[in-house]
Amino acid sequence: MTQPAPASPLFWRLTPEVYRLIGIKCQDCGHISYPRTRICHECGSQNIKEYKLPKKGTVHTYCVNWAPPPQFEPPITPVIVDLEGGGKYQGLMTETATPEDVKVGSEVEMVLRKVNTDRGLNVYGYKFRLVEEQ
Amino acid sequence: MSGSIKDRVAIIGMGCTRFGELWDKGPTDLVVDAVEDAYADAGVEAKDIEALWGGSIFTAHGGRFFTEALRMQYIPATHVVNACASGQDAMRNAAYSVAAGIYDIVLAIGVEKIKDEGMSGLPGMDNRTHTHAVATMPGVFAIMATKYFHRYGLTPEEGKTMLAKISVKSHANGSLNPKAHLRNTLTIERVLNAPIIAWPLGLFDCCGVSDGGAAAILTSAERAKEFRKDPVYIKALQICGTPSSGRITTDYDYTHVEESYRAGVAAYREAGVTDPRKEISMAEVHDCFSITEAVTMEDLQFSPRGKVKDDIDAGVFELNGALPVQPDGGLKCFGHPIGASGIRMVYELYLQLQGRADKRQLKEPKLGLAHNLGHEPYAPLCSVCIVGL
Repeated sequence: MTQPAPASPLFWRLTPEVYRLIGIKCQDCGHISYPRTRICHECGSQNIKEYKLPKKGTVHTYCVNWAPPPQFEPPITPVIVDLEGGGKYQGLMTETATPEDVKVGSEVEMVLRKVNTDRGLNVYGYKFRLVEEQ
Repeated sequence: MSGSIKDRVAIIGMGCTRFGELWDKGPTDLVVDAVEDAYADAGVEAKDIEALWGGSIFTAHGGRFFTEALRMQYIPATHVVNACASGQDAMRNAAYSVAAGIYDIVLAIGVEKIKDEGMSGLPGMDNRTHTHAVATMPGVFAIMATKYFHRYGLTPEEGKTMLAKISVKSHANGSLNPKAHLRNTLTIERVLNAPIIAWPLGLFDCCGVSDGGAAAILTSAERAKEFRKDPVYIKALQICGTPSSGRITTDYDYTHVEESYRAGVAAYREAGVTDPRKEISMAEVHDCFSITEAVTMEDLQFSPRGKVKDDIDAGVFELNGALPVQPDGGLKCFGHPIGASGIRMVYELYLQLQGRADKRQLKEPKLGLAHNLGHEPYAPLCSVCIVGL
């Protein structure tokens, strides 16, 4: 099964989620959701406002994928990250010496990176790197 | 909600192909083989079928695929697409049509010729944020294992050993089943030493990739005994749709699947089951990965939260245990030809209830449960079907 070819990065810049990291914050219960929803998934309210996700958080869970999708070199380390103040983001780790450097609870921050090249088009997105200890 | 499907519809015939890498067969061959098997079992012919529902994700495109394969002449035919629950949802729609009194004899089919799609595994399918593209199915279930181990204080070795026992058990069952794709037995050491697919999951934590087809012929409970002395009655057919809240909101824990739990609760209510661990005799659950089976044991209330390891260690889910799970070998040994899996599961429950499961036969099972989990654990669609005598 082939997926449709990606749109140009030019157009992805216009969508709220992909690079601008716009989620929503419920004005009734305060819950933060990403990607955006028109209805708060926590309480059902439609009283929502756009909310820009922070770029720092901690690793909620992860795996080390040795059989990634075709355009990726193994291993890749997908992570689910709990963002500071609420909200969750699913992404890839980058700049780790070995996958074993990542743990549940590791502090990470988002950086813009090339994700892959799909049929001649570069696909960019946010990845996470470990926050260096101060 | 006042309606219930319990004891209103009966299965009077079922068929199932051998599952595997069936390069010598085409998609229509699998449909015809499964359905001819079901016709013979029920003692009916093509002309008796009044309507059909067919579940498939990749192989079929519209109900025409099924009617063409079967040379079904001018009857209503519906293609059901509902992720990994497509087969069970086909059966659910077929059963509802009988319960509604519209038709007397209907056919539910599930088929997938997945090897033809050029996949070595199922890809992630949602590209909305550029982040999901990194997911493979082993990857999205592996993150559950990492979190489950962390939450319940299992070292990676303890956690992986717990999961290995699940695969060893399923292969022991599958080795007894001539229709299974993978019929080798395993040892815990071999599972633990297998190549890693998506850590912590290794090769033998993942189900096979197989082609297959299965079919069921349904009629009303009133007419069932005209066809056979031992029809199997549908006790519950539930689908739990997902708001995908696990993916969207902040507070999902990645150690349970809410939709499996709720599909189970709804099915137990419909079937009148109050103590699933005691009352369910056997289960075929969606073991796409070993961790999925572990978590599903808790979601379906067979084991308390965080305690499935105790039951796995005690052998509760083995063929001679108190609650055998995957008596036919499961997705682990049958692979997951998506549309076919749900009906393949019910096929095993059907054989077991009728005492026709040969070397795998359980002692007088009363109620069997089949469960499917579609999509990803944080945004799944789940189905539960309960059948009995």
